[in-house]
Amino acid sequence: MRTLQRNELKEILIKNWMTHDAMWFYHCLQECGIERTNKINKAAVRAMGTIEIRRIQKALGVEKVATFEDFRSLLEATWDIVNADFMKVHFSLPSQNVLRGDFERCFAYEGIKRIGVIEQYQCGIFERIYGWFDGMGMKHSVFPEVEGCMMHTDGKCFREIAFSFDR
Amino acid sequence: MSPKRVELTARQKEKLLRNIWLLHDGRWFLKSVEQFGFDTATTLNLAVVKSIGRTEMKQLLAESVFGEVRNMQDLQALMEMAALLYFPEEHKYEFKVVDNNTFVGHVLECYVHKMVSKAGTMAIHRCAAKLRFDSWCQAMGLDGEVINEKDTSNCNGTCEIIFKIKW
Repeated sequence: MRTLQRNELKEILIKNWMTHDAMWFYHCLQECGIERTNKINKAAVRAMGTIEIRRIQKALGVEKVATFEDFRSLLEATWDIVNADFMKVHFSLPSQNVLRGDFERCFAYEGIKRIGVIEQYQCGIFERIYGWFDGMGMKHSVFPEVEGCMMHTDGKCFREIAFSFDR
Repeated sequence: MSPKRVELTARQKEKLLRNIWLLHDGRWFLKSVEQFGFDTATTLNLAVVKSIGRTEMKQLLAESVFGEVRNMQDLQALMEMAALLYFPEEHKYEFKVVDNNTFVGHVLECYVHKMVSKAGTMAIHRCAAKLRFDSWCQAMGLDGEVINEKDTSNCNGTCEIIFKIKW
């Protein structure tokens, strides 16, 4: 037996969390079909994301996200907590008030494809991120607006999210 | 000016991850209750717990290169490692080896019971602990049974989970 390092513990926790999520999806799908499963998945992850970011803000001592710099700082800290190596997603800030997320691979796409419902799947990954913005109280617009799975339809996946800050 | 940010330790980050994982599980359950009612949501939850139980133990065994669980000492060491990794800090418990075939997990304060109490659904909630530990034993390749005589409605947040193992 070997002692697990801190980064390995984090990786195990996140992998199991995502597997747990996938199992909810799978069992829900068996029970009620893809339409209602999509609805429950997106509602659950968005509600989670909203509370998640508030908990992270509280832990970090961040009361309010008033500027893009505040947002950048919180995003970096959040990503350090919740990102795992297997996720293969990269965030960048290509211009003022714009966030871009690019997926090199997508574990959700791969998992949903395996269970045979990728044609009907509605992305839940970005719902979590949108939940963060709900939790931060940030107004935003998304390009492109995608309901299904972009990795499936386009062979790549990205979003650009533009924010507006009330001064 | 950016808000002053607290630097989190690895342990604090792990605690956050565990709690957000539980939060996500809870949102799946709540959204399922809204869609299907409590009975179906409970059936789904029990099926999901059974599945994730196997995965979380298999993953820990693989990552820690634990090897075969051959006796009570091995079982105790693995249970302690798994509990530290997967149970939130609010969950208070003691493990005890009673004899060569009996291992007991005494739950002193149960985190699930606390959450269910807050939701006010103790009378109808079904405890999934036995199923989770059955799955852990299967993942360890153990022959035996897990006994938990209590359920959420009558446990008052404490219980004894008995592992009877045939070596």
